Amino acid sequence: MVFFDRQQREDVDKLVEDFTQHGISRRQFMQRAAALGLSLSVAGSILAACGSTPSTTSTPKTLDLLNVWTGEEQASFDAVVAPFTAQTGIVVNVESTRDLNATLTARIQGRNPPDIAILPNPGKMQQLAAQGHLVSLDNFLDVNQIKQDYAKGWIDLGTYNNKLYALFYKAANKGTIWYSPKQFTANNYQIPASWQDLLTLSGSIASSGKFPWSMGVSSGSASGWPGADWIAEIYLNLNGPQMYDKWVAHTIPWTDSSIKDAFQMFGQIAGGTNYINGAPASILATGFQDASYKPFNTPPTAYMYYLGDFTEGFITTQFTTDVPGTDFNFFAFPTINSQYQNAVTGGADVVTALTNNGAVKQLIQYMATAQAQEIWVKRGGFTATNKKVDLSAYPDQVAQNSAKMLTSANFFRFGADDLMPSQVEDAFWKGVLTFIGDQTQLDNVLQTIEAVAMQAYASS
Amino acid sequence: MSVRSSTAAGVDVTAASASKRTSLAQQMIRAASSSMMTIIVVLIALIWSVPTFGLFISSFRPPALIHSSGWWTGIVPPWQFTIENYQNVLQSQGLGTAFLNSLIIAIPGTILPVLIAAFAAYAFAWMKFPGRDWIFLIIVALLIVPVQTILIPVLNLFTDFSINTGVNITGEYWSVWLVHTALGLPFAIYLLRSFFGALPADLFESANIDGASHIRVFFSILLPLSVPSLASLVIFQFMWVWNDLLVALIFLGGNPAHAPMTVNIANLVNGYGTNYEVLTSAAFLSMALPLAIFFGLQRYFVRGMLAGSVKG
Amino acid sequence: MAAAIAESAVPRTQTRRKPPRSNREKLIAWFWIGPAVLFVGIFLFYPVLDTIWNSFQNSDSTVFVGVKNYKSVFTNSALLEVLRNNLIWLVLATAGTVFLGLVIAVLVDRVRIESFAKATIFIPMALSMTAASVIWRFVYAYAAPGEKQIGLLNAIWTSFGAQPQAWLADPKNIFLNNLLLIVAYVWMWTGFCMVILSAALKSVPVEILEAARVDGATEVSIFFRIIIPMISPTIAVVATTMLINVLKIFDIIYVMTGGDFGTNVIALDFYQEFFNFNNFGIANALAVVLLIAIIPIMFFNIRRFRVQEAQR
Repeated sequence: MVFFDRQQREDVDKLVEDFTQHGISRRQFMQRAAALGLSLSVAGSILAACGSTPSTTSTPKTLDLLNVWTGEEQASFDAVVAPFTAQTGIVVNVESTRDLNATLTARIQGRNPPDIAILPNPGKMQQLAAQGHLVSLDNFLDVNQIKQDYAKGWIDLGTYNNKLYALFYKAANKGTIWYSPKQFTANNYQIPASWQDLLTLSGSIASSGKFPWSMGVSSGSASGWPGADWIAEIYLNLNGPQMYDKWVAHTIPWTDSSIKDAFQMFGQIAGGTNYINGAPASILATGFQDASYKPFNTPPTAYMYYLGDFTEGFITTQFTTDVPGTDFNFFAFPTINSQYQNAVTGGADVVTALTNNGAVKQLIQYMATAQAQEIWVKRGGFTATNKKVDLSAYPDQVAQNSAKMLTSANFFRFGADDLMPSQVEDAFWKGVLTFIGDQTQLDNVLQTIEAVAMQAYASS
Repeated sequence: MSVRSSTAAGVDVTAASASKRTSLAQQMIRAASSSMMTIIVVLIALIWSVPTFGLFISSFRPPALIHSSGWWTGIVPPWQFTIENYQNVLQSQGLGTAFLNSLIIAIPGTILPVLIAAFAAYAFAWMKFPGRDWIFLIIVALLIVPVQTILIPVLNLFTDFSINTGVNITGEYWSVWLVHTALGLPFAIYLLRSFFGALPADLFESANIDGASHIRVFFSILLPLSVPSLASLVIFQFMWVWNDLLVALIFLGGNPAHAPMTVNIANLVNGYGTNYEVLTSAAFLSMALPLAIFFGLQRYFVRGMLAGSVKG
Repeated sequence: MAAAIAESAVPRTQTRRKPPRSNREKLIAWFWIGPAVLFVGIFLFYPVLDTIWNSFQNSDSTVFVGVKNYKSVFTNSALLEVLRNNLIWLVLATAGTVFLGLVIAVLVDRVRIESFAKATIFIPMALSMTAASVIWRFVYAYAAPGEKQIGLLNAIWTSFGAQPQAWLADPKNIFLNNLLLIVAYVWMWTGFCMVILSAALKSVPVEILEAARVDGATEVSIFFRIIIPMISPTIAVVATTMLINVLKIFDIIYVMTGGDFGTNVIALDFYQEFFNFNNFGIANALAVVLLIAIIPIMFFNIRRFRVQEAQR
């Protein structure tokens, strides 16, 4: 650590003296350190250095946690945390909001950050780590244990500058296409194994006067993300993981032919003749949840729907008597390129630490364990990232198969849009909307996203 | 007794001859146009209420139906009404505490700005001091400041304050009281200044002649005459604080024990936003108190407060 | 006006008399406006300075970059679309709410069901933005042709045999998308204008209206030649407040379209840049553009103010 400013050095000395001799609290130390211009991780290191490893006497009894889990997810997370509080006596104050970006930005800039923040995508995590707001998890977790419990993909994703900053929690499998087994049997449809089969099936359903596909990308200010999921899944299956990584890291431009191909293949479904009722207007105007109901209505108004495995929750809530596996099920995204068979995209929530203290350490350790994840797995709506979680803990066959598909994938990649900087992700989503509305605009769309990407990567 | 009054248009009339001038025909026309007016008003009110009515009906429908059919289909049999949406909200965790928190936040958050604004508006309207008009206009200009731009500077101020004095503001009720007061002041001062300034100057002249202090004038002359404007202000300020979500999230977020109802209700909706049906019932539950205040204060919207107060 | 007459009844010498406490008054005034100035200065004015300062810094607020952010903002072609939308909102939303608020306030003043009617127009204001978004979702919802419509507008539209329209989601109907959002906004905010204008109406002495009627003036001429001039200060306050509110419109667009399909506005752009992309420099530059936009409005207010003051 280099202090360019003598005054600053003296201030830090005074601060350390206050901490070690006059017993100011860790929170006050961190706040004053921040006021002196030290980043959170630097301040944390100083704290660790002069306070040695956090002892139980200096472990705070409360913890501030910020996440996006509202609704029934809030209840599930409370259930996960309850045994932790019972065991350690540490109370976890959970602030949940769907407006996480606003709250987190304000609190970090206002020097009143939460102790732990659970982010919805790794792009944000990389941003925060680069700005020095995150505490490395290397201090908290047993590296060997982590290597045993988690697939390499998760560990790599959470690494920045060779340090682990993120624990991945609550995964989602995004390689699932939902359908009604009853309808398929009744109409003698075969589950397509390849993209060509998929197109053939779609064509035959369409020519029999029915709509093969349901699609909806409306989602408030995030509209377009279901389409981005489509394109990412196609891209991975079409071009493989190495190209995928290049796309995400922007080592190839958005105008590259590989990306254009992926968009156009998505366009085959979105714009297929009589594939989707009311397309393209209906795709833009229908919400991703409402669109998931169509294959399961009586009578069905579509036959296939692509979206991540969290769709199971939408279906079971709307059709409360439907039985998983019989009335609804999913099949894996079809193979496009046999070289990249069994390639799956997915998502997960990202657990990060912003404060370095004993309470945070204990909670992070707890959340990394299989037991903590199993609590939520059993409640449903949660796919575990920890390899040690037993498959039998899943509440039904469909959820189990989805988890299995995720862990046994040959090629796994995190959803592309979530890995990109926020501006690029936003431009991607809006580009999807424009493309769906008018597929002839593809070149314009890609050039627009490319322009945003150049700016975003140039300034970072 | 006749009252000579002049209108801005310069039409001189005397009320003394009033009764003599209205003929039966004119009275009938007046009656007919009055009932016409009632009909028009009823029509407007009905059309205006259609969207709200839709929400009301929806709040009594099962979620599966809300997502799959229009609310008007719920009016005709078969009726499948349910109170589960209301139950979900009322039984949600911590709603009682949240309701109390909302009250604790909203009551000072209304009284404080109204009081401060009333004092300031009186001074702007009826006192003379250098810079008076410019300060007033700058305050009004600050209406443009979007709330998102003040969040971080103010948070920083609070953090600095707690570092230097050891007293925490963020996470305590103080933070939102202060912020809501500041946010409400420009409009409050603007509105009250306009109403106060429209009061007849001679009221204050005569009070000055009698030697009354500003305080006496404020409490015994100004306030009683300004009840309608004060009532409107109270209605709106209370409602805005009661319905606020962003300020509560930012300043009280780290302390869930102090979170108001808006936070609780927002959190009833899951991360995907898919169970929005809880918002149908939550809307009416949350609206009950502001509406009650609105009705309660309606009796202050009476005319004629100035009648007879101006006598040479 | 009454004031003018009253003044003429008072001996001139008394109005000319300089109160001996004019110097004391200057001092006392500061106590009256002190708290307001303090609040507004700390919580509103200081953040404005912070915003302006940061608009000249880079996206991290660590390096001074001069006018680079402003260059970026103004060369971005999307900004033109955004500004155009703000202009459409400014004209239509302000005119809609003020005009409707005024007309309804005058109408309900004359009928016996006044409280009930005012309540129905006011209720939309009492709803939180999330509730309003659900209401209008039920109005604008889209279902594919042949499927059951769950949106009121499409239900009516298809009953005439037309195809369901993707309200708010059709990239070819940008003006319509903005208009539909404005309708939702006017539905909500007319109640605000109505309540305040209603309060102002109560201060119009009923004798003047009666006398004018007795003299044979029609309702329409009474409206334009008596009522409007008498409550014109309040109309100005309401219009200015609405203009400024509309300039910084954010909530309703954020929840209903997120700015997609040609509905983006400055405050939403600011929010994206600031909170989602963390481009603090550009975001603050956008905020400053918003702050500058208020200058014409304040100019108009200053002139009006001077005229009014001269009359007092």
